[in-house]
Amino acid sequence: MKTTIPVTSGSYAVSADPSTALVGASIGAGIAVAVFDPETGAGGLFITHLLQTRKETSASTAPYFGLDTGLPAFMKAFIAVGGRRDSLRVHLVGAGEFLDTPPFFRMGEDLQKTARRILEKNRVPVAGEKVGGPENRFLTLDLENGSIRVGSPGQREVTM
Amino acid sequence: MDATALDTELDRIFDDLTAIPAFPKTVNYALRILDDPGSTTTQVGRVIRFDPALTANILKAANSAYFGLPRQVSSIETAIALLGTRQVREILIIAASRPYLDREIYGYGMRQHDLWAHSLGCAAISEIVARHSGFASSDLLFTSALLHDIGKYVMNEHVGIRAEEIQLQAGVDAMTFTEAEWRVLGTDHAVLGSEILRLWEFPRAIVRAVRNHHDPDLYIQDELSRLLAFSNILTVSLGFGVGLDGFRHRISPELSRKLKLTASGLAAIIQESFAEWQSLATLLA
Repeated sequence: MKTTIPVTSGSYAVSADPSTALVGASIGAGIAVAVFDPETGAGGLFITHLLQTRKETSASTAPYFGLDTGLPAFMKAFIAVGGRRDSLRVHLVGAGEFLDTPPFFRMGEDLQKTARRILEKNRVPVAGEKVGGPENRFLTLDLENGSIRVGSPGQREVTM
Repeated sequence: MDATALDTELDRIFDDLTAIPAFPKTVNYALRILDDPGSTTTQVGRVIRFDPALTANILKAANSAYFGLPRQVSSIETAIALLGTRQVREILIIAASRPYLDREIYGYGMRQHDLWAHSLGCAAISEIVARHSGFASSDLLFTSALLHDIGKYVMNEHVGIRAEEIQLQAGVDAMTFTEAEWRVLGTDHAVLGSEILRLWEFPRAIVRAVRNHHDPDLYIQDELSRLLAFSNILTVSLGFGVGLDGFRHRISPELSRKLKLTASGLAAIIQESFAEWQSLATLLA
């Protein structure tokens, strides 16, 4: 039976268990970074709505990771469960946008561009994207084969 | 669609509007008691304890992490005694709203709990937004945020039947979802929602804010409407119970300036919103 691990914004999950699926239920304007290594079966999912991790955090809640510190921590955790830099595949999903969004509210676009910049700076190519547009996406990364299913309300799910 | 067919469709929608079950009189009475400075919370308890369904919903809300009671409570009198007036007011409105909002709204692509999650999420975010902006009437904003999509209760079936047409209009002509609702049905869920709240005798400011929440030209005009629109934009952006219409709206280019928003302020609100979202888990179950 498949074990489903929900991943919430500001956090990540990694695993090399093929019976596991990582799920981002409702990404909104946030960005989801899905990573899978077909050679080792390691995979991970990181979701965030912030460019930078804020210093002010509530003691009662888990830390909320922005892209700046969250993405490196996520990649480190992915490598720790067996992922390898030279064979990984990265996909970006989310970054929903309102129609005619004024620059101040272009949260999704900023997150997507920054995620790409950080990954490319570390020589990690992005294999595919489902980003932008007026859609609230959800995704499932199946660690049995690395398939990524992406959908949004009222739309048919597609496999990336 | 010709004008006669549109009129017939509108007649049906407004027939459904008048058939919507009335907002519980017990809650309206209890809210009036809370408005009286000389009242006590014991009086509120006496009024609502005879409504078992409402009492169960109030206890569920009171015991959620969101309201932060030091211990679980099983009697309405104890819950009210431990909570402040503002929290009792919020719990009353949450408990009374649930039957209208915690349902599948298939016309808008919302599953069983999506609209409830969206409404609660927006209400929780509105509290954070009110705190950050120093808005004094946070109770008005909270109620507006919780009930801003009540119009979907009535519009659901009408939108569902014409969903393809509405989505086609919205997609092909790059219309907002509310513009497509107008084109196909002759009204939209924001207008319908404000009409429901007017029939239920909610304060005019709330009726207006709900009417305005998707219209940038209107919501930019008054502070409550602006803050409601902003709370809703954040609720969608953070992915709290979002249907197929969620992102299909425009944002006023003036909104960030009028609300004096900064990037760091927005980041703080986002982080606090996710923390608050965790505390809503019991209410969403």
